Amino acid sequence: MTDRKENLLGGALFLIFGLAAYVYARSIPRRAPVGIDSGFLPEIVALAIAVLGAVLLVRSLPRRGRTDGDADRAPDAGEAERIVWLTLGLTVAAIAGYIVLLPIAGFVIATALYLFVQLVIFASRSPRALLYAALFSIVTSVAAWGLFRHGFGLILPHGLWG
Amino acid sequence: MYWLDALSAVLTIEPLLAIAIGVPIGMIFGAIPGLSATMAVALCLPLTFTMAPVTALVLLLALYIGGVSGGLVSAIMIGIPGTPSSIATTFDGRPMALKGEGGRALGLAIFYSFVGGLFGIAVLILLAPPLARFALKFGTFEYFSVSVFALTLVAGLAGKSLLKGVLAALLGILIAATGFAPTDGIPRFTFGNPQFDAGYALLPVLLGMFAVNEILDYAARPPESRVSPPAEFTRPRFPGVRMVEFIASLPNVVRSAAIGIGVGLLPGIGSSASNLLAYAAARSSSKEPESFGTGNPAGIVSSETANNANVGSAMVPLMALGIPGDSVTAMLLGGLMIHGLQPGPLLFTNNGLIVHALFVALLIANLAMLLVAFFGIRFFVRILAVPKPYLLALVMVTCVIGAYATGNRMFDVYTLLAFGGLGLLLTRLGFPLPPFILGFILGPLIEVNLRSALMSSRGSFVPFLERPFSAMFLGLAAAYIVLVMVRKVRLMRRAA
Repeated sequence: MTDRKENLLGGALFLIFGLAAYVYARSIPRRAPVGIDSGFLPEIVALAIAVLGAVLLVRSLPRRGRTDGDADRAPDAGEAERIVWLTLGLTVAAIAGYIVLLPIAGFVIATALYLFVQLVIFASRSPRALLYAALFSIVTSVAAWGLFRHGFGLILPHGLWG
Repeated sequence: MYWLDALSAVLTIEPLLAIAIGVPIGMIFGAIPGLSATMAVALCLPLTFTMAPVTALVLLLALYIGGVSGGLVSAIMIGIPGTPSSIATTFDGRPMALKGEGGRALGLAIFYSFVGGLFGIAVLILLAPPLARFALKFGTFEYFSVSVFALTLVAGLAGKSLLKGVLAALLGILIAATGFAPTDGIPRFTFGNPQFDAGYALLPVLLGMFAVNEILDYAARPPESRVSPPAEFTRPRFPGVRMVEFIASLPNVVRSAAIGIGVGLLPGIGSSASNLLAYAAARSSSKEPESFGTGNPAGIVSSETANNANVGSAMVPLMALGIPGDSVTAMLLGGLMIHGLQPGPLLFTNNGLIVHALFVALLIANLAMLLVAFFGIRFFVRILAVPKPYLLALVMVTCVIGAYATGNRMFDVYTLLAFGGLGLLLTRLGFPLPPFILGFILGPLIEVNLRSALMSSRGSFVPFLERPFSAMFLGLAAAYIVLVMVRKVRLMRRAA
């Protein structure tokens, strides 16, 4: 993504978010006899976000006399690289699945499953790699339970089976 | 009076063990590109919940020192800085390694990291107590103004654009306003869901922004941009430099340490800038500037001295004023607060022993870094060969454990994922993350102090400009914004 496209999208998102937050902040009950009330800061900040988001958006709109090519030739245009949506989507799904499964299946089972799925998404899928991934997932989840639950005394989700 | 007690508090098994474990773990995080000192501190914060305060804080400091120093390993061996604080180390470290002088480059980098660390810690010990005594005179007006000043600097310096930095900071402030409001407890942005009543806990937000974001960013990257070949390893000789070389390098060392310290004292710039500034200064004052970038040891000396000098000095505003200047010190603020210690001037009066114990621990951790780095260097180089997918999957699991341990509720785990996604979105759209984090931390401070100040002034804003220090910090913030805008207009005119 070029600088201009980043700013265009970023400006639009901040403008929409700022306006929505401002509308919500207006509904915060007012109860301050002296000074400012609880709605003051959210309202001012949301408004500032909307205004500055609009400034960013307007500044990045294409202008007359300047072609898209000029705008896209930002100094760091090469820095931003393409996004591999498939791997990203699968990773988000794996993490979301992990979080959903945690309170149901408990830490050990959910973690072992997540680790295996994440490694399959990221790494090689040869039979040997799959075997390593499976071993790593099981050993790590059991070891992490032992270390964090019993070594550091942290409470971890134990799932529906207690 | 405190020094002897502090020494005996730190020279016991638990704090020493915390240093012995924290420094190498920090170095591993620093050495692996994508992992950082910030992440090391964030991931280990939950482990400290059950520890004694001194041991817990010593562990976090050891992780910090290790994390900043570990970046040199990958900077020299694979030409990719493990952390942004070692960017300039790659310029001459990598060419030296490719010429077969990797051992010497590693030795220099480790030794001058130690020297830089000493300078920074000395500044912390000498400067923080008087600054804290001075800050005792601060009231709500001054705290509001100093927070606004810090946030403005961070917003302007963290990224390429002041506008984007300010937007990120404002977003952090607004998100931090979620939950019961200070003073009157009115619910805000809770959507009627009691889970939001207490707002978002700091730790899941930090872990999401820095660790989950990194995992998602790795997943979004094309496979070809994820690998780089390591240089041939040669072992460095202890202590990495001869006496004659050390004496000759002193002007460079002092200059680079001064830059690192100056940058650390100001909120928002961070060690990622200090190493580059010190490198540029070393190059411009060198008799042979053309040799920089081709394997000149002075380049490594400047970069590594500056980034480690930054560590101690960055803790001055945190400890004396309670205001973190960057992401790592924000984590340390979280660590102090989790253990019931409120950083700021009163920390020195109420918890003088702990403050001095931290000074002692920093000195020991710095020495431990020198020894661990020298004698464990082969191990850290080997770590670079561990497949990153395994490391990142493991980091995700640790994040979930840390987030859940914050309040033993799944809401914090959902927060973790949500802020990971937000972090990725902001990063990809070119918004810097440090202003967001500082806004998230300073937002509630700004609001509480503003409301208390206005209550005491019966709604009048005039005292903010009447009280000298409050007016000075607000004036500095305004002057900084004007300066950045004038510079921008000049650049645009020149380009036109």
